[in-house]
Amino acid sequence: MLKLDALFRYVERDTLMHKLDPRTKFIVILIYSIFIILSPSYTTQIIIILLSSILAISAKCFRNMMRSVLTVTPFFLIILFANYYFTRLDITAALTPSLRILSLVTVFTLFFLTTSPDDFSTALDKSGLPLTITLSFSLALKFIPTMMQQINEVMEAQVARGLKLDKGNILSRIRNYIPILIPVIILSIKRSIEVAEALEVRGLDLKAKRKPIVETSMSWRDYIYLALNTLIVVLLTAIVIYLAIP
Amino acid sequence: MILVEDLWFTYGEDFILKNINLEIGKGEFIAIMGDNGAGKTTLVKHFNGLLKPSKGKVIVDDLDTSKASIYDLSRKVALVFQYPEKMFFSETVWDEVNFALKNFGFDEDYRIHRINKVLALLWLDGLKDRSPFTLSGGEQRRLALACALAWDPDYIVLDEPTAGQDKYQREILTKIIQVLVEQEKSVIIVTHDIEFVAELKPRVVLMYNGEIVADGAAEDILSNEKLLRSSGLYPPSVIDVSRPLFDKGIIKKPIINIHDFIAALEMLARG
Ligand SMILES: Nc1ncnc2c1ncn2[C@@H]1O[C@H](COP(=O)(O)OP(=O)(O)OP(=O)(O)O)[C@@H](O)[C@H]1O
Ligand SMILES: [Mg+2]
Repeated sequence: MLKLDALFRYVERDTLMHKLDPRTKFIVILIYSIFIILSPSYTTQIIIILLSSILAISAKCFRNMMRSVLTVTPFFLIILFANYYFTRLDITAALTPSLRILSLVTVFTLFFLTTSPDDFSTALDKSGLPLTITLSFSLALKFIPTMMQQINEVMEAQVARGLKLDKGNILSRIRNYIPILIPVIILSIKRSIEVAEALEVRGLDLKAKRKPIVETSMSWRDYIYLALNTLIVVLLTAIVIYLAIP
Repeated sequence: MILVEDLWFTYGEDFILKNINLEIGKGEFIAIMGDNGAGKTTLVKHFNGLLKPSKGKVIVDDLDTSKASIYDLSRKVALVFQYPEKMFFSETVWDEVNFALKNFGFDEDYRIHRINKVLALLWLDGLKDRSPFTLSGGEQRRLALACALAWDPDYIVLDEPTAGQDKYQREILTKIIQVLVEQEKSVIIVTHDIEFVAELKPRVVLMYNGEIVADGAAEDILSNEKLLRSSGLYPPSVIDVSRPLFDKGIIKKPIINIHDFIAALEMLARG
């Protein structure tokens, strides 16, 4: 059966990607995301997927990334088919929105796999954004592994009751997931209330000034990485605008 | 029969299960015991194919779990997990029980018959139309059990059935297990609740650190303090009084639960 609990989970390694400041990586994925969403060219998205894969190999977490990609493959196919049939477009036009999802997933997976949630929270804290935003964001990030594990447990409980996930056509396959989604959503809401209460009883003050326990700092590596990636995106944009490739 | 042969299992790094050999016959009542992290849950997840052996094999009747589907295995082996709230999704108790029956393709008459039957067995008849989410913890546990008994599986595995349950719930559970055993169902409970096991006296399989360290009658294993302590468990409380009496030769065997102890005292009093 599908193993969800290890997806997107931070993999501790000693590589260049891991040493980069979380803010650098975050800015880079933001730049890429904007490009991916706006770019009408699937070729550029394939290039981004390849680039992320190379970076994943250098960060020694390529296998983990492949697993996340495999997990979204059904969605990728659904979007591909939906675009192909319902809008009666040709396959090239259908490829763009589906590859958009896939490239976003690879870019974000690379970030999650190489950034420890704690480092990321610290970096966010120092970004100057309001605490309500940064706290929600880092909490959400921290709960990804827990959430994945929970989905896994719910899935196990339901298949043990005879639920077949891959039965029927695409529409009924989506419906097969309802017995998994409902418990997961209810459990998540319950947990978020519990977390809120726990933060409150421990005296979280949203207005107080906070000082990070761990210091993070940008180094020359970060600036080079940032510059290189900005350059790549500028190049890709130029390719899209001037060469107009599909 | 569930047959486990030289089973080894790993999630990726260390072996969580090591060289497990076990035979569970039809109609047998058995408790798999061990402290936290001993590998009990990991072991029972092999019985319905949720986990596949890394080495060795698990056979359920005529099905090899590494080849058979979870669907076919679950039809024979029902697994009831520790947290029932992780499976409820229906609007009513009735629908919740009906879910598995529909999945396994039973016709409507049979489904109605089974739902009424298991709801009665688990003392839930009055709650048919309630939402599963509004039930008390004990009722939710019973509903989870009802869901699993509905399709009449031959093997029923209960993971930590007594955790967080009051005395009343435990008594109900005891009765239900007795009914199932009488119906010649195989009942497998996974637990570290030593008093509960001492009361029911099933065959006990003791696990420690991924291995089976003992397999035998409850009275032999639960009265073996050294064995229990080395596996991270404590002996039942009655042992504190029955052990000295046994050592002095006043009673013939170390007694593990209070009912047997009272019976033994009565015997002694009568002479
Ligand atoms: N999905 C998983 N991935 C990796 N390791 C796991 C996973 N599930 C369990 N383990 C590990 O396997 C070991 C055995 O766990 P298991 O849940 O089988 O123990 P248990 O005997 O049921 O314990 P408990 O009494 O706490 O329920 C533990 O060390 C646990 O950390
Ligand atoms: Mg367990």
